[in-house]
Amino acid sequence: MTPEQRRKNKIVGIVFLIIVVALFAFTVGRQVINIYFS
Amino acid sequence: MSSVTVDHVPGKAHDHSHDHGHAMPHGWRRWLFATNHKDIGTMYLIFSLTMLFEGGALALLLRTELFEPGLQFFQPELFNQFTTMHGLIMVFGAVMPAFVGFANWMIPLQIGASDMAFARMNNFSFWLLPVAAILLTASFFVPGGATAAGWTLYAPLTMQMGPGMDLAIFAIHIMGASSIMGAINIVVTILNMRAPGMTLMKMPMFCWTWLITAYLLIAVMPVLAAAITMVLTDRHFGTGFFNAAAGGDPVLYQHIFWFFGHPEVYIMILPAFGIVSAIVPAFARKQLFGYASMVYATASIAILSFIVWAHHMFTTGMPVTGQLYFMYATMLISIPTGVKVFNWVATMWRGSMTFETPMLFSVGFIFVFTIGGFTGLILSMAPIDIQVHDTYYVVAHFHYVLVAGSLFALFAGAYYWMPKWTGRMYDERLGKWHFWMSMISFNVTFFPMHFLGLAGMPRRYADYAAQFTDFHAIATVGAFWFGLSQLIFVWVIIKSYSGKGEPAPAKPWEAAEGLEWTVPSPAPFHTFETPPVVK
Repeated sequence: MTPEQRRKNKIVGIVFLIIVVALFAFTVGRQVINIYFS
Repeated sequence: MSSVTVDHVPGKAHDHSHDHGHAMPHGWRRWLFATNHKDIGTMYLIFSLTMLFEGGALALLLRTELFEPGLQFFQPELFNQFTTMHGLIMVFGAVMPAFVGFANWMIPLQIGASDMAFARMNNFSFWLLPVAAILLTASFFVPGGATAAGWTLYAPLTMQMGPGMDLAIFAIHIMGASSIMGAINIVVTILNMRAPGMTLMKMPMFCWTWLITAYLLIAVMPVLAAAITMVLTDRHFGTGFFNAAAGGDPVLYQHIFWFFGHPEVYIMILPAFGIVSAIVPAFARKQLFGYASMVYATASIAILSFIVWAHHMFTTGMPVTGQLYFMYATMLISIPTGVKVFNWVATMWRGSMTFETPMLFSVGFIFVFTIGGFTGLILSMAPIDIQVHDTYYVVAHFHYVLVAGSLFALFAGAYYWMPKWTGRMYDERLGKWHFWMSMISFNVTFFPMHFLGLAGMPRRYADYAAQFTDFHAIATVGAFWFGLSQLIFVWVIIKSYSGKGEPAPAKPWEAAEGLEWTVPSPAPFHTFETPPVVK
């Protein structure tokens, strides 16, 4: 694997990681807002 | 695959026999610190087979109790623990890791990559699994035993469980993290590491189905993680997400769970479609009929899986308009699924078919999975579903999809690629015995459950009225027969791995297509260090 490919892999991986964290936060956050702040 | 085959790969372009001894660790370090996709694939497969037997043993305990009416061996509380753990172990411990094992072994070989994109993360995502499995199994031995809330872990049952529930939540979190890491690895590998010339529409169907499955995993596993985190905070931190008395809503849990749960069903079946799509053309000696439509059908199934979750909840009292919407949306899924079944049959049509074990399991898959698909269509109709909800009809339906679907496809794939993994041909006679024993005993076990369900036998009950006795007795006999049949598979694997059997050529199936058949059997430790060129 070339360093360039490694860098590309890392970027795409981080993008997906952000999506995963965002989905988790959205699911919990939405229920928190619905139940405690609405 | 759109007729891309290996013969387009120039001989010099791929590096298939350079087994670099300097880079191959030995002893326990090879496995504990494994970063090689083949080693990790093997570990996934061994782990999932072990879990299959653990989950299977629990199933046999359930069937033993259900052999005749009355309570013979287990109290209902323990029976419910067995039911729950059987489901959790089979879904998260057996079927999903088995497909990840196949992905690890085959995706780099099929796209001409040297390894997975994140080799160390691959190691971590595997080694999380035994930890989770130990937690889950150990939960039987904590006060109150394992969770008995069913694999769906519905609130408010989850609020009433002992510490076993917390262990299950922790285990599912760990397995979810493992799945997410595995999925990210697969997506990045497929998107970034394909050999030159291997365009997306030239990829084998197995890679396509896994690419789409990995997207599904990334989209829904965080939702499951969020749901069980909220269960955990409800249990221990005074929140009331799913507690009506605290302003929450137990039905909310079901919505969140099934937003994960329905795509999960496709996570467990799409890679199976990919395996069957590789095997049927190889043994029909024809190109896969309708490659592009197969890809679009897979994507359609995945997209539709996000908008049908509440068909699992028709009895929760949703408005009729809601029921209608979810009913029609669910029925839509039968269209792309029908496209797939049609394409497999059309591939076989006028083909020069032979029925070696992989093909037998694939044809068996098509036949029996279609029955499961049809009962799914029947269940999608709200008026019928309300009648048979939580009965054995549902149990029969999802076992037709998951056992005769996912598991049979896994067996098909194992026999198909075993020569590549072990370097030896498996014992064909034993393979055929395994197929016929499994096929017959599977139907003996699960077909009577349709009748039980239609007659009103509820699921997850340790006892039942005498009128259900005969069908339960037949199902129990079938279950033991099915369980024992799997020992043949273990024997086939042991024989193959211990070097018994004919040495396998690089391409043991004359009409098989794909880059994996260009490397020797067994596949060397390092493959495609120089990427092949696909034209």
